[in-house]
Amino acid sequence: MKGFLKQLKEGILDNNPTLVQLLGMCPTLATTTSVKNAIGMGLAATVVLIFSNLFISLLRKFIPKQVRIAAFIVIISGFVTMVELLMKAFVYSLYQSLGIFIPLIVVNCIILARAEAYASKNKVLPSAVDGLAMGLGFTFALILVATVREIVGNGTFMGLSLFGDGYAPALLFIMPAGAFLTLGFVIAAVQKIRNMGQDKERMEKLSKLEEEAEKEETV
Amino acid sequence: MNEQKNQATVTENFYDGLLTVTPSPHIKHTATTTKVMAEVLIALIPAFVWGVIVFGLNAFLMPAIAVAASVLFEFLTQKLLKKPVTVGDLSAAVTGLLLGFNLPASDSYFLPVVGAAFAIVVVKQLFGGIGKNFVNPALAARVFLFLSWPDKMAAFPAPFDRAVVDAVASATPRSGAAVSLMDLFLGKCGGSIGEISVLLLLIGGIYLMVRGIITWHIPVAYLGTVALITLLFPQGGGFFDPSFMLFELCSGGLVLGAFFMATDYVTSPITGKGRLIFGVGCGLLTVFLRYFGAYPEGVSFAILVMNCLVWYIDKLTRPRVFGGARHGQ
Amino acid sequence: MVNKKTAWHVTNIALRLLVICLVVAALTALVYAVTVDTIAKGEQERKENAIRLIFTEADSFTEDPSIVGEGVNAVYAVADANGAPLGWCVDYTGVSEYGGDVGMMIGVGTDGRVLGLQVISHAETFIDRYLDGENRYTGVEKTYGVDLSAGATMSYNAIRNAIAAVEKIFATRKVAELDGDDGVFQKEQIDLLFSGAADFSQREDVIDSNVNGICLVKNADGVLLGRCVSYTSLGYGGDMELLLSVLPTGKVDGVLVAAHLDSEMFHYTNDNGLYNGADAVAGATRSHRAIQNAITAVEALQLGGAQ
Repeated sequence: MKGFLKQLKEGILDNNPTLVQLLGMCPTLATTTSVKNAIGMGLAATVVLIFSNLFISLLRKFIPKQVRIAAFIVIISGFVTMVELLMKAFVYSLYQSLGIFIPLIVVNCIILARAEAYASKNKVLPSAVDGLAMGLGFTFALILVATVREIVGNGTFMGLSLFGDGYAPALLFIMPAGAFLTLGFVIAAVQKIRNMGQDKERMEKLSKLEEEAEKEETV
Repeated sequence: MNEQKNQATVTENFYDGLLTVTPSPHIKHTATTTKVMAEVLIALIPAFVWGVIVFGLNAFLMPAIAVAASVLFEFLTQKLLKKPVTVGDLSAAVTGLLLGFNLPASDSYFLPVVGAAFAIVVVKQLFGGIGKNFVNPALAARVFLFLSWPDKMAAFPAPFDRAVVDAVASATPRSGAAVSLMDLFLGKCGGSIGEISVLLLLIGGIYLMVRGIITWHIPVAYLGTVALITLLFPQGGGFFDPSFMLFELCSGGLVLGAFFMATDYVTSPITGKGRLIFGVGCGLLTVFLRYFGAYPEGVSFAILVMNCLVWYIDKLTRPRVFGGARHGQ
Repeated sequence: MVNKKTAWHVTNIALRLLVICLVVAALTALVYAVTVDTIAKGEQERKENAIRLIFTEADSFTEDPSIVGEGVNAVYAVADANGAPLGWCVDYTGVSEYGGDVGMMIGVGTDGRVLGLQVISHAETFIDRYLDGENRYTGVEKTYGVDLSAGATMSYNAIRNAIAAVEKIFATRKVAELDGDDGVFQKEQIDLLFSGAADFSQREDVIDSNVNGICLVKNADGVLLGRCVSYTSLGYGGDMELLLSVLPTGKVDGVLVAAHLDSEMFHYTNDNGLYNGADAVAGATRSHRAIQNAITAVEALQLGGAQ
């Protein structure tokens, strides 16, 4: 259980697939025009991640090494198709909003990267948890970027107007150029926070070492 | 720079100019960034005054706010990033004034503030400060503003019309208003604060060339290319149309761009040959964008794109160094 | 050199891959089987809702495969409960300048003008500004001459272009119907051109290739009021079908535009289609010219003998 919690923390924060590993940039830029779309995309990708990781881990001894990428793609695209059909049938408005980006989940680097780096080498349950962790991290990144873009570029959050009619939103932020700008700043901010955390760790380690060195000297 | 100056004074006292031990360069031009920027500001004054005459108080306030905001943001950013404060070099002021020139004389006072923030903080300081920006900050800010608030950036008041308090967007020459060529040249027409008077901008541009601040290459290449293409291939078909060419030359902030934006030292090539290529490129892009582009904007995008290519142009036109290894080592 | 071991090795890999593909395909097929009906039902419902929103009295709609055009997915002829035709609903996919597809249901009245538009699917967040709660485009009346700022125009253009394209399809259809025929004369049109017209059944022979047909218009006492000439003239954007009223002297008295492909035509005609000789605007000079040419040509025919 502790291991799973660690996996979750890593997926969302320390090793966030989008903000740290810099994977899955394309859907991050394209589907973050509104928070609603971002959540939809994130959850759809998470579902695919969990199931594809699960399936690939299940078959990891069966999938031949030489054609593993082909096998991964087949499995991933199968699950994406299934998710797409289910969305089209039961949540049509979300299906509509996400449009072309649902089939593009197939080539979302995150899913292939986790299949190759984790699922094909680990047991079923940890792989599924990894899928969940990475998916949640991806969704988190999407929500971050979408929040900025929707508030600044549209004056709304989840469709609810925040500033009333007088607010003239900066339209650039719902355009692709604004997406790049926002993503850049979000990644910079995340890096800063990570560095501060790492610096703190390093300082603590350093002072611990110094203390021990002093103790040794006095002894 | 200041430390070097002090060192020079100390050495001079010791050795009385017999032995120079300071490092090169030994021949120094008296120009400083501040002096250069001051000249640019002087060159822009006639157009600024005319803008105020034509559009009234807002034509003074918008650039004034832009300049104040630019200087303030540069000061704050440099303080926050614990870098030496260089607002005295007037480069932020010039950016602010040029940004202000690109705004309509309306009362959307947030435009110059947000534009200045984008120009100074994002485009200039975050990339390393003066000398390190890869595109013209004022121009980038202009594009940022008109993409974000297209309606507010197009709220041009009618020229000479003081009675209109609630600015109703009136047409500019490029959006259909019928203006005579002479009015266009003198500046008796609608448009952004600083772009309307071709005559006064030309005077400013020639002043800068005479004072050695800019060279002739970029303006001549830029305006020449635009003139040639619009003369021979006017928009909408036909062949050889001098009046269309003159209209294109005198409208849309082309002269402002050619003399004051494209010639920015940091974002234009170093050699004369490079500058000519740059100017021609700007001209080509401006004409194509005006003919075929979706936005009523040619100059801004053209210069920004060419700014991105300056590195390559410089590499192409690097002067040959004698001696040393062969083939551009 | 292929030895038995390598051959088996490769076959083994291929077989395993095949198994994976089959399993995945089977799973996908399963999900498909579960969802196919729901999806089809949903599509049908959405279409019906869209049509009903535009034509509130719509009762039945049948697909009309004869009307086609670029971007048109299907055209439904809509009728009310009594079977009277209300117009058409066009399932249209337009392209916004941001590159996304905008799926729309466009309602066209029997006169060929677009009277309502509902956006069914889109990928833009700010298109919502132009739509009401039901995703209906609220600017149909203002399709022409509305000034809009850049970014907004982008999505708006997709709708504007769609309306123009669909109207053009129906206008072309109408032009084709009228052209080359013996000339179609409707009572309302004759009444607009000739006051007191009672009979227009008698036809005259056609001498000019642009003339579709000529009918003699008489009043209730049998006195000849003039002739009505159905004429095809070339205008800006394509052919236009005109009805010219010619006095017994051979002079043209009035022009009615029956069908046209010219988006600027509204400058020159009143709501009934009667030409009001309006002042020319930019590219529209040619349609003005087209009507003028028609008038000149018909007068040159000297119908009724020179005076």
